[in-house]
Amino acid sequence: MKDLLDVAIKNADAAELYLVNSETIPVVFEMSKLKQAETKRTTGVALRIIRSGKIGFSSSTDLSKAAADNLVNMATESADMGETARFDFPGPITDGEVMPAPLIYDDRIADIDADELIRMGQEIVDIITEEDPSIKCGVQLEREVQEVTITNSNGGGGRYRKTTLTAMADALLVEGTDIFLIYSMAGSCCSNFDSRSIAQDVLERVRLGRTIAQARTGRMPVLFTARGIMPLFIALQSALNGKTVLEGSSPLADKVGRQVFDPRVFVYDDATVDCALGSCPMDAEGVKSRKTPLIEAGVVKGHYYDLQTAGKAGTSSTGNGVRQAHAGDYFEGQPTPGTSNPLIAPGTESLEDMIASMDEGIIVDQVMGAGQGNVLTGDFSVNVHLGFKVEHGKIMGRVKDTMVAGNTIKALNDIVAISDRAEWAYGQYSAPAFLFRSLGIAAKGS
Amino acid sequence: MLPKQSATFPSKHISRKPGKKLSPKRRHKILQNLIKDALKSHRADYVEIRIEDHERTKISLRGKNVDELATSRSVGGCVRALVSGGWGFVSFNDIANLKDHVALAVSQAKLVSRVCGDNLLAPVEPITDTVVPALVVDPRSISLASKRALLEEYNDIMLSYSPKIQTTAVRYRDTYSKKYFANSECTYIEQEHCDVGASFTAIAREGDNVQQMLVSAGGIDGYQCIKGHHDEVRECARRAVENLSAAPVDAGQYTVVLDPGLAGVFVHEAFGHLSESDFIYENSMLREIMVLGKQFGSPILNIADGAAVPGHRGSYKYDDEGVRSSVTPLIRDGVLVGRLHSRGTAAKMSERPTGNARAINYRFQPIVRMTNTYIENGETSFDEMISDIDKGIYAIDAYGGETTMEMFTFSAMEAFMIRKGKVAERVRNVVLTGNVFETLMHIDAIGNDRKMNDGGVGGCGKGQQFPLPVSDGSPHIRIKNVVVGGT
Repeated sequence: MKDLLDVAIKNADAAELYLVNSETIPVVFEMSKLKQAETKRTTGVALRIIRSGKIGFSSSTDLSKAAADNLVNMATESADMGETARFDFPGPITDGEVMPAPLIYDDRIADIDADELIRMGQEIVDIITEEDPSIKCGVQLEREVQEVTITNSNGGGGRYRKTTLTAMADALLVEGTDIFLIYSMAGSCCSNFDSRSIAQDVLERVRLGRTIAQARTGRMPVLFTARGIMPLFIALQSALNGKTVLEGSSPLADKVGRQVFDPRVFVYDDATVDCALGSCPMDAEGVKSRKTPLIEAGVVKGHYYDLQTAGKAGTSSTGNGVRQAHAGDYFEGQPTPGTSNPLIAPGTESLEDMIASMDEGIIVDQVMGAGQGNVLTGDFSVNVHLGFKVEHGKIMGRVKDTMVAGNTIKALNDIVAISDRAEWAYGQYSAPAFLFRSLGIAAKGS
Repeated sequence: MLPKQSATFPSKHISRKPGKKLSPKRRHKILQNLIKDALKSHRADYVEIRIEDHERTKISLRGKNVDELATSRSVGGCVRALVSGGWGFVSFNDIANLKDHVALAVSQAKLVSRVCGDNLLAPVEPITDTVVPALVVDPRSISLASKRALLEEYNDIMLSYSPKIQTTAVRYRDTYSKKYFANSECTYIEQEHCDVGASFTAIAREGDNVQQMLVSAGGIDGYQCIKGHHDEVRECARRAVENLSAAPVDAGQYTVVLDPGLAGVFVHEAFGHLSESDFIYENSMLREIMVLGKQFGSPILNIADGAAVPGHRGSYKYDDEGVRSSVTPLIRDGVLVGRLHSRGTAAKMSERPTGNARAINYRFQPIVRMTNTYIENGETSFDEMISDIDKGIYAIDAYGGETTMEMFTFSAMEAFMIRKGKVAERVRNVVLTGNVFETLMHIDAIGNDRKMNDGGVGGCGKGQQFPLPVSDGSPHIRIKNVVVGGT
């Protein structure tokens, strides 16, 4: 890798290499039966250069000598057309000034093989089908070992290894043309994670959803679980992104220091949480990971940035440079601002009390169509894929053919209560449950 | 520190003279020998090898800035093995060690077969073929500079349209793929494929009100499909600005008329995914719901899917199991008459493979996917369609759509109220949802103006496999009793 950096720097003012080596073992169960075992080995390198003050970028899965020359040539050609660089590659990370690197590697996860994953997957299938043999479940367990090396011509970067174990389960119940489908997903970098928890999570919701209840069209209190709050989370993620702020398309541009939300709203991005799926010692540009306050007590504290966006905005990177996957090749994307572990802080009420306080309302637990609407304004309008009708504080059953709509900023100013426990949703973000005073519900046949 | 290996098939491994091209015949021979070797020692029932080489160019402009401008090369392969009804799969970038990968795939298949081994493969005829696309303009022959210049022309049109245009996003992708497929049944196919797509987004802002509009272009016959869209792009900016003055739609149930753009997304989301047999082939309850011969939609409805329809984003000659593509009628006169298959699902359902097993690339196994999915032309003109609607919605183009089999949802980019038989005022935030079993029955008029949608840089996602190039299409259609969520 040093060789390639040396070749690249000959033609450029500065250069950076990002090298990935990973091995993923997924095992897949479909319709409650083991279907396949896989091994996916990925190697790839991305070269970013600054040449005559402009950014050039190229990536390849081919690490041979001949390919290296080609990689340098392609990056040089793209630099001729590229954007003016507003940053320098970071120098070495000096330890001690910030938090120690989070735990993201566990030998016991690295040692898991397909045989063990099959055993773990079978356990999940058994727990679900023992409750009700008519449930057809799909389970996917995946173990990944990843090695990332970042080097740049300023002596920055580093190398780290990361292990992850993720478990996904779905339960399918069919009755007539009613197709009842529930998902769960959880994961960790550490072996203290019990993959069987997703089976319980799925079953709990199967029990609640056995009865069908009719929702009505109108405005009413709506409770979003950690999973259900996805469309609002996506809107916040977009509004807090340094890039949308810089372009003026974020409703939270020019709002730093201002009270925009209910004072109970706290949002952070934290890449230093031990064992969390989004944790890393450094971001994809070699900038040291940290915890970044985004919203505190309803006040916008800042936005999240990568190097280039921060340079343009006249601020510093928050260690949020990510490389977005294209069709599974996650070294292929140019760094852009992205969240690591987004955390919405819990409140003070118990979930049970929150439900008990609802005279008539809807609980939203899974949505379909999140991110499809006008994300920029925070407007959402989603299908309640899994949701429940509440009457006089009691869950009456599962609703069908129902949509919920509103605006993220307005809703986060109209909070009745926030639950005292935050949960990971699909391994992507952590959030408590939110009860909003009044949102629009549209239901079929009413 | 660079590993001394070549990932480029097959120069390092086979050729002694660098740069000298191998004949397909020779490559064929070598792959066949590798498979034969692996089968000798491991006794798999079936082995297939896919080797792929993708060259990509990506350009993204955001506002006045170049957001992304890069070329990439992805070369790798995969081996899939079937042993006693269990599947093993290995993907990799180091092609030189092909034999080891075959051994690993076979051992994983054995591991699976010890727990559960009931996978089957429908028989197909062995094929030997080479497919090269007829390109009008090969995107690899166009410099990055001229690609950027064309995209900037479009970007400037949008940015200068109005001071209300806050920002823009122009995204362009081209991919040239060489795919080699060989299996233990003596099929050997080389296919080259070119996919070009672009999307142009205008974002208009007035105070806290932000509206966006997107138009797209794309095709498989070369770079020229990106040219000449100046008028559409200007229209896109105009529509975004006009949408600022649209009122949010009132939530409720409406008769909706979908334009061909949105109706195409509708047929893909609301019905297409349900016709992918891997959802239903092992679930007797779902098979009952999807039994052939069942009245599924109104009698005017005809739906088909097929990669053998030439010239669209989802078109190809052979799928990723080496099966010849076809056109599959799915609904005829409202009756369910067909579905999409891989070799695995076809065998389990005692039907014929349809050539719909696709993988986004060598890192993934082929699964049942749509290709070009469309509603066929009917007889009603647009004017007739809206003439007797007292209060309804005319919904145009889609931001996106999603389905979970029974339920679907999709969001309109642009919408108008229909009042007393006429297209009336603009409305926004129109998101439609429904239940597929009811909604197809509620289609009561189909136009005679079918269009296929081939544009864009995205594609279809299923499981972890995104984006897969597909097209969809439809004439205008009218649907009764659709739930629209407002804000």
